[in-house]
Amino acid sequence: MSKGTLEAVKTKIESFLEVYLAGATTEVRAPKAIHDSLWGTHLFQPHEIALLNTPLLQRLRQIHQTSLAYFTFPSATHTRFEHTIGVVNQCDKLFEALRKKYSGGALFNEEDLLNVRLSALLHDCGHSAFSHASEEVYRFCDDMQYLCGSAGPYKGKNAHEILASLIVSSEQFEKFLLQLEKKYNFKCDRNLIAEIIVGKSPSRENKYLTQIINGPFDADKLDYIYRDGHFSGLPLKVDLDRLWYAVEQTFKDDDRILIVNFGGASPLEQILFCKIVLFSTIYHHHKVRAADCMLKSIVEYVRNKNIEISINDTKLTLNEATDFLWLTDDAVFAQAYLIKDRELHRLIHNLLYRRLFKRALTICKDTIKDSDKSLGYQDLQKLTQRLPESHRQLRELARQIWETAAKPCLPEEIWVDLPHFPPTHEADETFVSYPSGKSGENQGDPELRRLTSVFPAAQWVDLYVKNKWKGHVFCPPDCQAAVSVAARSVIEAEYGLQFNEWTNLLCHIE
Amino acid sequence: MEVLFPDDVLAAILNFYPGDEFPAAREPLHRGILELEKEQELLNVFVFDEDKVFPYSEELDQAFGNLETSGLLGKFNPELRIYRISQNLRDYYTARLKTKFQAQEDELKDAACKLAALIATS
Repeated sequence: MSKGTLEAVKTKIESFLEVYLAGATTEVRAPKAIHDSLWGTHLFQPHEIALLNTPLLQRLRQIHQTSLAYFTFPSATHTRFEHTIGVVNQCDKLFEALRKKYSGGALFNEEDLLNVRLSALLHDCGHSAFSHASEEVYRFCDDMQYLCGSAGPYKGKNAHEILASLIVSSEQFEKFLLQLEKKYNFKCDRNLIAEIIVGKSPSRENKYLTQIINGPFDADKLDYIYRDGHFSGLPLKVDLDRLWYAVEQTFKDDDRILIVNFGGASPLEQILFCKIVLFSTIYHHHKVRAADCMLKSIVEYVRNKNIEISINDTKLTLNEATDFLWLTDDAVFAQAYLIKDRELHRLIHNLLYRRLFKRALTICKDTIKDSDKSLGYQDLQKLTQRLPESHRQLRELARQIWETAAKPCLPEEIWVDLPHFPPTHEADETFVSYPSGKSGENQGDPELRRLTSVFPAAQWVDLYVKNKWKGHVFCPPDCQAAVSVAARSVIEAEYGLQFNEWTNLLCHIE
Repeated sequence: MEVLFPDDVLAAILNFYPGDEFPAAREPLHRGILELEKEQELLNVFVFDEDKVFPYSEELDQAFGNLETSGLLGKFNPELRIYRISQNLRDYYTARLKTKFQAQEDELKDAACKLAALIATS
């Protein structure tokens, strides 16, 4: 993999946009108010509506925001499109709160607002079917591994953000944006938008703009915490009004960043707590993880059988990250009828009609004897790293289980699922300004303190996450008993662990 | 060639860390490992996003979390601001990692001492 990979990815993105920007119209009569059940009514400018009307963003209506969580939380049917609308709204609120404080200066001007709103609008345009569930698959594709790897141009960045940034940087997109700029008489900074989406800043001086969309308390997070909680039936609250009053900008070293004054520490802690509750209750719910694994089964089956998927006359093998741009949730389900393969039809139908995988084994501190003293537990735990090698080893382990269980289903239907910890590093990246302690004329500059040094909320949350962590072996319901016995014996032999009686109880196995 | 996981490299460095305790704050740890990564190939398993408020490696964060979850590393209550290297980590190194890193032990000792110095001066 080399620089040629980036060029190849760019070419594929151009081909994708030839279809997903084809026929996109710039005609919009006037600004439009969009009603959102969560945040209320928000006004969008004609150029923003024209972008929302493109197939590129309309496809987000066919991508569920919380992957396959709606099979477990029935009302979590909200999409990436609704989330996009919400992020623009929250970006606007955050920006206006800052503009009030710094009115009259060079900061937070109309041009900045235009650029951050467009970044919000486009930040998720690189998502594929079932959002993060498919991202867990295409992040391991060779092209993506190069892009986000240590030698790549997007070192350490998220896969879907890389694709979104490359879309914005493309020639096709530039062409469409130029038409919009001409028609609606505005000028945006396309490079800045592409950088903001992946969390880069063109200069240290304007890091605060990037942080509105991609920072420790960004508009993206504020929307998904409220939206995912609300639509899953898990009401979560953050004192946003308090946050708007408290948000400020300042220099830390040479970076101009967003901070909060000391009154804003509580809403930041609430954001952290809410995010972790979302992970433990929804995203890492065992049924949600089981459904995610069923999606992986489908992709793996397509790859193993060399099945070619055709979308808009484009042939996809799902071996490259850019192939996934063509997929939406609907497109995945449609393959059950378009491809004449009985097993693929069955795999997709099992997901569509909620015949979800069952837990054959639960791997956690509660189910393993003396986990604290067992060296094998670390050998297994390190496979939670999101690396191609962990993926390879976990698939090899699943294959051994499948063979030991006398091949009771397709090999693609057994999964050892060890979730990655939810990130909590935002708390260390957030700063709170405290008065210097002096009063009157002698008052010095406010002191900047890290949120985690004010109160160890992040440390507690980390501990909570680690104690809640659970891995599983998933399989089809009709072979649960056989796979459970096989999984237990294979993992005990491979890792020198001993499972206790809790594992069967947690999996509801007699 | 045997594949090295970020957890293996971190556990190996901590095995040679001078002392049993060190501050658990993310920024100095991530900055410290990034500094070392620039001079020691062994640490290339950690990929850093350098556009955040401080350089951040997802692999390093996960490795610390994994070592904690499996009891190789601990934190003191109630503030959880100090890491304590447990005997389990030393045992893990001897049992699982020593042969993997035999040729690089000097490099690891050097990295561990430099990391301690970087943390101390941060």
